[in-house]
Amino acid sequence: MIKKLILTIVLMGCSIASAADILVIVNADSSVDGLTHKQAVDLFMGRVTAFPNNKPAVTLDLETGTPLRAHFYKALTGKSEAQVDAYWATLVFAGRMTQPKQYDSEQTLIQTVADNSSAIAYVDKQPLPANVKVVLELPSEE
Amino acid sequence: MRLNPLRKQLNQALLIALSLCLSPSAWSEVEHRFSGFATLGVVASDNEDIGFRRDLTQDEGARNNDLYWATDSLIGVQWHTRFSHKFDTTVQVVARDRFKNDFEKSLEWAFIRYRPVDGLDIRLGRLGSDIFMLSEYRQVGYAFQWVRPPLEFYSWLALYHFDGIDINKRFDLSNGTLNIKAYYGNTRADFPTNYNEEGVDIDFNPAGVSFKLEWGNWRGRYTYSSVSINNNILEPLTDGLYQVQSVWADAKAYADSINSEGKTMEYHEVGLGYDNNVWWAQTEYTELTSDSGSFVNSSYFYFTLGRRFGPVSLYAIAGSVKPEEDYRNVTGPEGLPPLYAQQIQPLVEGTQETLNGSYLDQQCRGLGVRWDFASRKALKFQVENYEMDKNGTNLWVNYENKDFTEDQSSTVISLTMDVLF
Repeated sequence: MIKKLILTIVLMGCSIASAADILVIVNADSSVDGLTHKQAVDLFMGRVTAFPNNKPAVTLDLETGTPLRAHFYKALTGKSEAQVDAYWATLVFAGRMTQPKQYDSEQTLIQTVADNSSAIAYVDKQPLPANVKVVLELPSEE
Repeated sequence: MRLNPLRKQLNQALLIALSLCLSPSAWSEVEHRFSGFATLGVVASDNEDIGFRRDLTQDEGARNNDLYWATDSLIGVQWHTRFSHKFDTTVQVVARDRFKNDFEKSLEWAFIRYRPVDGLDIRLGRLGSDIFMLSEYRQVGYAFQWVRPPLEFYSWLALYHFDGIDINKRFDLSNGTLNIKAYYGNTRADFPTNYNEEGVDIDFNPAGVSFKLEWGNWRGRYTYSSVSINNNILEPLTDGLYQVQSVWADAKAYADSINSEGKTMEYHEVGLGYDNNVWWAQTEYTELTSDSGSFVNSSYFYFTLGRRFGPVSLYAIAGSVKPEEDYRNVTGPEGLPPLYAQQIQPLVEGTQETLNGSYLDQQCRGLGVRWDFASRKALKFQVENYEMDKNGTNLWVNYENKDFTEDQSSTVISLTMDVLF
């Protein structure tokens, strides 16, 4: 009985641990220190092309089909990946906005943000190098 | 080793250029993007006399329950070049079925954008006409839920692009975004008619202003557009009418009314959309008025409601287009010798057909399902029932140019696959 209880608690602990946060990151030299949820939505959904301080922003994305991409947009906008792609199709093919460039891994994203003072991207919560900083933390359901 | 001064300078320049390329701010390099969209679709319509078409730029349609693929199938490719965060260019070419098709018509966009500051866009070149909610992506099936943009609304209002300028300014609100856009340009378009082979060629200048508000789950817009027509689209008819005014007293008035040169069409459009990621709804209403007898004052409307179940979305749609003027009956002069009467008769018929050429009176109810079965791929199936007044079938291809004595109806079944690439 006690064993079962311990097992349950352990399993619960696991499920809590897997509810990992997602970090929105920028270059450590960026003059942006924090973003509101709406400001992040505006940037990643192509409503704006600059940070709130009017400095140009280069939004980076993961490749379509990467699990973290689906989790990120769900957490940010409540939309499924297909909805996000359909939404972006309305902007891209209307010639209004350019979709963020897609990268194949989180490590490439971190490296690109570290190399570019205008870049903004998202990664799973993890220890980050000193040349990037977190501007928003999003709770992810998965 | 001693370097000569020129070589030293060159080396320094190379080093500076290299360091610029490698520095974090080296994002000014030119970047090219290629992307596209495609739809493969079949449609069947059960009416035997009139053909179902996606919009008035097509002169062939589906009828008699034969499967027809050209209505909705298309492929579009886009080439985007970014020169800096201030300048970029976009070229889009769409291959699909069109009346009098050629490459010039396939070139949907070709413009340069200047963005001096975030939130202000100035575009110059061939631009999408942002007159209605779906105007700028009406060919991108993956971008909307239905098989095609609602027919009662988008079929007659078939303005795709123009050559000119638009300026968009964004205003950031506490919980939303407001975009105000003004545009002006010129374009030519060929439209088929039911009564002549060559159709009509319209040269016109669209101008307008649109207000688009995004607020939480809501989207709303209002657009005012004015289209001024530069040519007389039916010159042979009006010339003929002017010639017979001595024997047909009404002929001059009809010709003046039909002559489209210098006339305008005015649109007032309102649109409202809601989407909470489970339920979604969208509606649009437009009123068209014109001082040319060739364009019947009309109102266009659709409403649609849908619900998502994971990757599957179910939706219902209702639409209508109604004339705001009476159907016009044209009678020729009386008491003429039979030979004269016979000669004038084609002009009488041509006048009646022209005055009622955009008399549209139909409504539609439909159900559909969209299934996002794979990444960037969607399958759609839609069934609609259309009911048309006997005089109001002009959204359809009237192959034999029949005068109907009874109201018409048709059931239209469509299956499409949309992809992005």
